[in-house]
Amino acid sequence: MRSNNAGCRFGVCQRKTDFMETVKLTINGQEVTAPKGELLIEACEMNGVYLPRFCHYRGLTPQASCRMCVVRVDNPKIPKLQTACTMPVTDGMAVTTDSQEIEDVRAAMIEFLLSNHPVDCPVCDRAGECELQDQTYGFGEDRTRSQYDDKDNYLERQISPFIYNDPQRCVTCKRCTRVCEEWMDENAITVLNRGASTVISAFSGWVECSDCGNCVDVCPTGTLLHVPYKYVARPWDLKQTPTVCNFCSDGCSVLAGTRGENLIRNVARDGRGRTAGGINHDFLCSLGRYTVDFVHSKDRLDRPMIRRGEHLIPTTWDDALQHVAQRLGELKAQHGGDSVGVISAARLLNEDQFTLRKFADDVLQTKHAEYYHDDDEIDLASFFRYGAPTIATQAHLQNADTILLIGSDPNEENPLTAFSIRWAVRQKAARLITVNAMPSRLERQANISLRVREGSEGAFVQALLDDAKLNDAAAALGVKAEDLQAVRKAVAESGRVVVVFGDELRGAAVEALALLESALAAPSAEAADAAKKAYIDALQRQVKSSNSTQKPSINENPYTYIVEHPTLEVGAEPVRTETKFSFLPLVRYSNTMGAGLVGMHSDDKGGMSAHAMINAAGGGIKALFIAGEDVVSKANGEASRVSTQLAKLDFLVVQDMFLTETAKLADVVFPVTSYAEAQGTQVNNGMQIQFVRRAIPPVGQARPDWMVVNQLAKLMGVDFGYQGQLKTIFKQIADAVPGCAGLSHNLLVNEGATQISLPQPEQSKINRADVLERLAGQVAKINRNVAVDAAALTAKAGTRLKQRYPQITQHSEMLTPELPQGVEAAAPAPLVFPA
Amino acid sequence: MTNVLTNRFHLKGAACDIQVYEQHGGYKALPKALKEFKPEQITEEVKKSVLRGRGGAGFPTGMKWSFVPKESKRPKYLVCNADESEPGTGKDRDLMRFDPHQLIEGMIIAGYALSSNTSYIYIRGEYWYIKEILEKAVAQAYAKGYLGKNILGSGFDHDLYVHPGAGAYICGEETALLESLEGKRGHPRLKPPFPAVVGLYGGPTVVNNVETLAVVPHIILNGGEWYKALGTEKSGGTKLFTVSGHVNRPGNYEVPMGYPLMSLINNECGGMLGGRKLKACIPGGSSVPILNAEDCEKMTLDYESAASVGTMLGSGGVIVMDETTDIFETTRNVTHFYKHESCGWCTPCREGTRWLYKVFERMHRYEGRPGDVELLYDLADKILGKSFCALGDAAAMPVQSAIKKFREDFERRIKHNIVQIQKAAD
Ligand SMILES: Cc1cc2nc3c(=O)[nH]c(=O)nc-3n(C[C@H](O)[C@H](O)[C@H](O)COP(=O)(O)O)c2cc1C
Ligand code: SF4
Ligand code: SF4
Ligand code: SF4
Ligand code: SF4
Ligand code: FES
Repeated sequence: MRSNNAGCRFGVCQRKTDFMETVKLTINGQEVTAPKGELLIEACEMNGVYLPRFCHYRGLTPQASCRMCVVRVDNPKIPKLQTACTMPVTDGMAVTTDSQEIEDVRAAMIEFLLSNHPVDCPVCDRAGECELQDQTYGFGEDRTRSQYDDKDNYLERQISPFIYNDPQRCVTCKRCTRVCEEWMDENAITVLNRGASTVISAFSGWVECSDCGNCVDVCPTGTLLHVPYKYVARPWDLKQTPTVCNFCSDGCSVLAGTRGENLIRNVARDGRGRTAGGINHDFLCSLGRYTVDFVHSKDRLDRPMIRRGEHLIPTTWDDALQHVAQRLGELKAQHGGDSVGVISAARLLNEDQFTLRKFADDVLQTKHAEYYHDDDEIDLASFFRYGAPTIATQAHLQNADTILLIGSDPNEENPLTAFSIRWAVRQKAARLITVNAMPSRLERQANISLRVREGSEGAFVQALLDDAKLNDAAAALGVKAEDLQAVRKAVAESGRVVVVFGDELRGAAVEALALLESALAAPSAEAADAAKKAYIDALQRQVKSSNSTQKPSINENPYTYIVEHPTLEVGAEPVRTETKFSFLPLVRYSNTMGAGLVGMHSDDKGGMSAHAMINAAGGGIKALFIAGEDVVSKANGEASRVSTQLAKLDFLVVQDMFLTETAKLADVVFPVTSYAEAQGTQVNNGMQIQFVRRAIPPVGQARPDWMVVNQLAKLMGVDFGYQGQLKTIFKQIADAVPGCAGLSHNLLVNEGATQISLPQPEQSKINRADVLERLAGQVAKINRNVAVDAAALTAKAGTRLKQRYPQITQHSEMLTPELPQGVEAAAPAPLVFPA
Repeated sequence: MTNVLTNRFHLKGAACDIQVYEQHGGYKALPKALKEFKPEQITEEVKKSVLRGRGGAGFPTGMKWSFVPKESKRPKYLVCNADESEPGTGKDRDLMRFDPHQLIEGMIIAGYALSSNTSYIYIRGEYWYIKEILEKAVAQAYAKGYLGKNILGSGFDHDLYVHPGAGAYICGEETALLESLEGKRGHPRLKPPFPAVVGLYGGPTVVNNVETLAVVPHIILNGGEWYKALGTEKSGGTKLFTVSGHVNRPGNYEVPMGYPLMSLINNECGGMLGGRKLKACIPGGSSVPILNAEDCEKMTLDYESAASVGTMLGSGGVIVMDETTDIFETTRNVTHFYKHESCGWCTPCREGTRWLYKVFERMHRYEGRPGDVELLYDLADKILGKSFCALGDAAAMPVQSAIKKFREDFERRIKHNIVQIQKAAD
């Protein structure tokens, strides 16, 4: 049923054998090797023997409940059949997986599972990518002895805005509840009842959760279904295109399911075990998964528009392009190149950003071109001032000894990062330290969590760097000095530390991060290992005080059980870094990093920032070219001021997917493609460059952003030499941008996420005293009379990510789903339990 | 009758009071154990007694104790399994309500043997009134210094808690019991690791039946050899049996191991009710294979003899059935129990017991289809040995043995056969 060398789904197991100890074992008489400690079921799969399974799912705690994977262990001889999903391989082990006896058991288990199953495949959304179907074809009999007339029937029902539940189709593998607990730390769904009446359910009938939909993706049957995808398409009608999510800087891969010209769904993994093969394994969050409908919103712009007095009138591309080229040419001639500004949205792809920058440089000859970012976003210029400190990827996070989370709430803003943090804590006993003014669900898993005064996060960096200032920093943060001391000690003795930081870290504090490496030197490898071991021991000892209500004890939240089963790790190889510290800046948009990298900023040319350009409208700036950003809506309570500013312009060009508040003010509006229609590359917060594939043809007459700009350039007499090819743009990027040399689209399509390496900071160039002094100045300004008040901040939390994407808050119905008729949120259909 | 465990039963519960218990030889073993024995020596003495677990599986107790690692980062625990839910079994009930201190004394000694400072009695929820008796007794033991810190000046600390279950048979299975004790859903755990290595709250844990632990003081007082000599060479000591069904005097009886089953029925229990003929007997609670009259004649009450007639001593619940009994109906009843009590974790037991019962139901209505008897047998076969825990086996074995030994009771339920039977009668 599966290809012989299915190997590890994440495509890393083959590599895994390079650095891991291996053992020899015999499967059906054939001698093979497998990584030491690997589960037998995985070892078999790596060696081309696929064992059927329902409950086993790589990376979830073993369950051994479906009994599909039974094998006979001949050496060492074990009298009973054993479940391969719970057996670690040992040297010299001999197993039989293909005897009559085993085939009989598999067929019997399938017969059992189908004995009360509705077998309503013709009306089941999962049919076609259902593991129960597949396993039945592969390992079951074509007849059953069960009688259709005495099955226990259940009503199907909706249990959350996104989840549909048909209990009778359940095989009780509990992948869903394990995913919800172990990946999401939500515990939103559970098993109800006992024995044959067992069903998966919410605790109160209606699931209250983060709507990630991962439980639905991992469900092997049609028991849990995506509401937006219900009865929409058949899996075999779908084309599945691996591409990259657009909604936060983590950059998850998604499988975009399309039918004809329509984007139907995004999944991390389909029922055939196929994944998009990205950095997120099988994980997706609510945004990446469910906000697909805006792509086909009726509000999408389908034609260029041009202003005639009060009105924007549809026009042809030729007309619109001609008009823009002419007007920009005139203004440039009249007021000089610097009278025109170019602003891009940070979510646009590298090829778009690069072309916009080229357009500014070579065509408009203006120094003002910058991707739009707010003043309260992470100050990347400070961060990269002395070179690039090691940037952490998700793999770094998952293999960290200590994770320092300063500011931000990854649960809300970077859901994949939050997943990786949970993963590291649970599976690898990483130590999590949070420093945050706002409450975060991650604190539950923190070893030390410091709730600090809003705006004081910089003082924490000071405390790490400067022992002498520790007491002062504690006062500024509003925490106890001994707690800070404990954090400092933990960080000092850890081997690999990942610092995850958000917007809250500002100015000198961001710059000072570069000093950490020399201030808190790495312990020797042995000392680091010893410290980690001591930490795990301490975790285990906590069991003794498990009645303490203060912290989740290991036992209630059994991390250490998992430490005792090291085979559970996802097959990512440990990331070894040259440096002790690596940093994950939680920048806001999917391509903030890329925009900066390809040069879409004014810094080095002495140009204005996006905000400054808007402020200078009517003064130095006569015309603006805005690509993909709704600067009016983003203006945080200053919308009318920004509108007034834009009105002062002589000429405003906007290219966007929707007629945004900004587009409404434009003289010409170009319709452009969404992430599903665009192709190119983007760089995530881990400095990993990824290839974004076009999943559907452009909607209406939309064109990719780069193409519009390229056409304009041509009309204005400059040929970028693209020859109409996207690849060529990237070639130019690779030549121009440090760290990208040698990369190409062809390579990225096959390689997946590729980390761009940049030169390390030159410690000698850093003026320590100066940085520390500026940091001290920053800390001194913190108002210590403000209370450390979580309650007031809680109100602000939780909505930030969605606010960043007007296209989904305004044009996706999925985020504010209307319940189907007859379904009421408070009272879902009751469950009927047969006696 | 040999009175070891039941030698204070004639006091009709007065021994619940610690003074009465002490007057009748109680709390003599504990000081002896603490003074004269090192912890390992107690385990050795228990090994000598060849005491085997009385909870069902009959695992040698001394050996189980010796699996507990000496050094452990986490605390060690002793848990008394008082979940007694096996149909036909009520011996632990009487051991606890007539002589709670015997159990408590045994647990303190066992705790000492394991160097464990904490123990729990996990008691069946329906035994709420016994829980009160136990709690009173525990309080008395604390007051007298038999529990708590520095017991009898020995430097050994031990705390004992009584914890009620909430009514699930599966919580008698030792690992499900531990889950339940930790406050979780009562599902069995994956083994290995066994509780002796990773048990309650992740610490090394010994789970023993009430009866097993109640024997311990007697072994300490009189020696392992003495206890062993009470029974047979391989099955030492005495055992309690709960006899129910068609006998004149049902009840709990303590007999030496190796005692003939028929003597138990005819002497202790006063023979068959109404002088009717014996048809079948389940000797060890509903989970074990059923015996016909012929097997019963051969069987003596010890582990080896039970194995030789293809059954087990199990929990010691002897269910006696006379010639008026329809074995199909008793098996249907038993299957209903297992269907109801299956925890739902694993496929064969969850789906298998449901399906089995469905077939039983239609046969009960005399609507059995040709092939249904074979279907029952085969379904049981597909559960047996494939389930996650032993409950699946417990559901399968009675069905298979009943079909093997009393097939005519089943065949009568097949529609097709009924027609034949009626024709023959006409
Ligand atoms: C489904 C099931 C139910 C059980 N119920 C009980 C019970 O109620 N009481 C008991 O002592 N043992 C019960 N056991 C046996 C225990 O798992 C365990 O073997 C026993 O408590 C060990 O004690 P022992 O060594 O003293 O026999 C049960 C086992 C299974 C599989
Ligand atoms: S959608 Fe996500 S959070 Fe909600 S129940 Fe499913 S797994 Fe849990
Ligand atoms: S709902 Fe799906 S994932 Fe959850 S237990 Fe049932 S079959 Fe498994
Ligand atoms: S975590 Fe970020 S990249 Fe991943 S699916 Fe969610 S929004 Fe998209
Ligand atoms: S055999 Fe399986 S379903 Fe039955 S009680 Fe044990 S674990 Fe639960
Ligand atoms: S896959 Fe091993 S028991 Fe389910």
